[in-house]
Amino acid sequence: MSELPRLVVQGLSTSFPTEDGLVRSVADVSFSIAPGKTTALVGESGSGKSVTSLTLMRLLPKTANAQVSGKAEFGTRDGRRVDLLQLPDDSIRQLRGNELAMIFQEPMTSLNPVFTVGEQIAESVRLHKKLDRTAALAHAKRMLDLVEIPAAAQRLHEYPHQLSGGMRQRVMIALAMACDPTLLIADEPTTALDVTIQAQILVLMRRLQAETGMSILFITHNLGVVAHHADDVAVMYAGRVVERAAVRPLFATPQHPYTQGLLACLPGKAHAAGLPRPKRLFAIRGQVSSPLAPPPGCAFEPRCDQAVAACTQAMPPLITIADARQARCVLRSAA
Amino acid sequence: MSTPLIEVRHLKKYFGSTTRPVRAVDDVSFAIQPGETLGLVGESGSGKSTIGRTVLRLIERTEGQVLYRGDDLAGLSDERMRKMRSKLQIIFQDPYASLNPKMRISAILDEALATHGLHPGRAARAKRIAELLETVGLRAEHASRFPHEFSGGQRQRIGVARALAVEPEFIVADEPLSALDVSIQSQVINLLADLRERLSLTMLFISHDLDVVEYLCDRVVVLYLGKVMEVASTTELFARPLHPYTQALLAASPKPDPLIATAHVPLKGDIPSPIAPPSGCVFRTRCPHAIEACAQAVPTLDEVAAGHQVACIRQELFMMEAAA
Repeated sequence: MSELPRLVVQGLSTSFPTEDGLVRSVADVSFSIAPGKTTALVGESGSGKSVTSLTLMRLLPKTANAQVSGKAEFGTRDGRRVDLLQLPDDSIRQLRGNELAMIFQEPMTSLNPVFTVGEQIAESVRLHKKLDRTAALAHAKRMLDLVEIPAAAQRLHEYPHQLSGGMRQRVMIALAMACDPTLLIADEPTTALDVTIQAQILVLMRRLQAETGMSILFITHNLGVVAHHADDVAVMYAGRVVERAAVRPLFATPQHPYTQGLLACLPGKAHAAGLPRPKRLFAIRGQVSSPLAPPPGCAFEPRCDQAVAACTQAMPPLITIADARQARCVLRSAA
Repeated sequence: MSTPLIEVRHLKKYFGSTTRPVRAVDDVSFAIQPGETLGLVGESGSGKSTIGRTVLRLIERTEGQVLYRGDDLAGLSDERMRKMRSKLQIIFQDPYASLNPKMRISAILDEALATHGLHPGRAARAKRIAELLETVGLRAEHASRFPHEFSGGQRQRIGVARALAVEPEFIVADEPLSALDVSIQSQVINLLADLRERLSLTMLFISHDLDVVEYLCDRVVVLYLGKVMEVASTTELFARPLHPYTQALLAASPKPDPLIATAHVPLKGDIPSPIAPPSGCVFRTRCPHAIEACAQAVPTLDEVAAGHQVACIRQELFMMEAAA
């Protein structure tokens, strides 16, 4: 089946005017997500991964005066291809919470503390599916059952503060799944959770994906989670995608020096494969440069051990180096 | 074996009401040998930070003993304890919250030196401050800056410098890496490993990140709901985890390699409330191997191999598996 990707993002840029000048948080980002697949956006703080997701969902606050360019082509349920960045406000509102859903890192701050969880889930189905109050509440209970919350009928009438962190994230997922979305954006969904709870949530997300065929954009800094839960990966650094690949080739043979460094500096990765514990961990020196004063060439050049003179000249383009593999580095040559 | 530098015996820390207290730490014992790094591992609510703070008497314990070179710290007067703190230091988790934003770095470090009367004289202290900053990979001129002028990784280096200022023997590192990005984490891990070797420090390393613990620690104590589940050398624990909780914890932590399969059934449910912990073994409500007897009595921490202790009555199960 040669289906079109559910989402194709091309040349996405988001800039914010500040008193100290224009900050380009996201610059020329392109990636796509196939139906039923998971694409991970990986990067450290300030790499622009969350701004990317908020831009796609059109959730950036108006007061931020964000300057957005590029395209984000989304295949709707009724077979249309729409550009998420160009849709009028009322059309995006019909998609959001419906075909497009999002879960956030901190479930306590993303749930409304003064409404019961049932009311919050019911709100979206009343709006999008035009169900009445009783039917919506019954649907909310089914959703809580779906995310394996025990005693759902009782939990329906509880407030977020009465639930544990793992339960709250389940409620967030129930809320996101209420209208059967085709694209779920998960922004660090397990970062605030303990590992045993993280494992539960990841298994749940997998199950729901297998059952519904939704696509997932998984935003995370945790490479362990990426290794086991993504199909494709886009690595971001300082607002740009520096490498794109399917998950196995990315971990087996990372092509960009930043990806290589990121994997090498993980104590688990260094120690895996039965190797003895190395005396010193690999460390990427220095820190991310200020977005107000980016280096003239490659953004990673000041921290890169493999940098050459050409790196300071201009930002290298993202080039295709092999089938379905791209890297933004002058040391790599086009296929 | 020589006298441990730090020995914790039957430590208990209860918070809140006396009738229904929160049992944050419930009868925990372990010892740390000079020069050793002991890892304290567990999820939120397991009591690991409370233990770290109770050991240093930043909070007072409810029961039990904390021995430093054989002497109980609880018996010390406030004044003698303050002197003792030059030997016992802590690095905090959040480098944004643990440095006073109104103080220059020089003042932050100077305060530590002045409190303990080290390097008397302004010039001598300034020299020592410059030295400390260089020890942690910063530059002497950074002394005149304020905390907000530094990145997270640099701030954590300042936290390390402050702990080292008084030349301690023992450091509690309470999740010192969890606020840092991966690429910065490895810089700080290397720094801690270097300093530990150069200054022959003894460390209690508190973390929820098993990969970091495996890399940095000599021995590991696994905690669950305020109790010790398992104690073993790092190599032994990661190669042959015997407690069902340790096994689940290791299985749940995804390895950064897509080729290492993680086919496992995650633990069901949440950590129970420490106000009303389950009877018997506290882990039994989530344990895949729990039987009726697990609810009857609190399992003792038994030595099953040299230096390997486990608190589980179903050990035969795992010993058999290991032998098979």
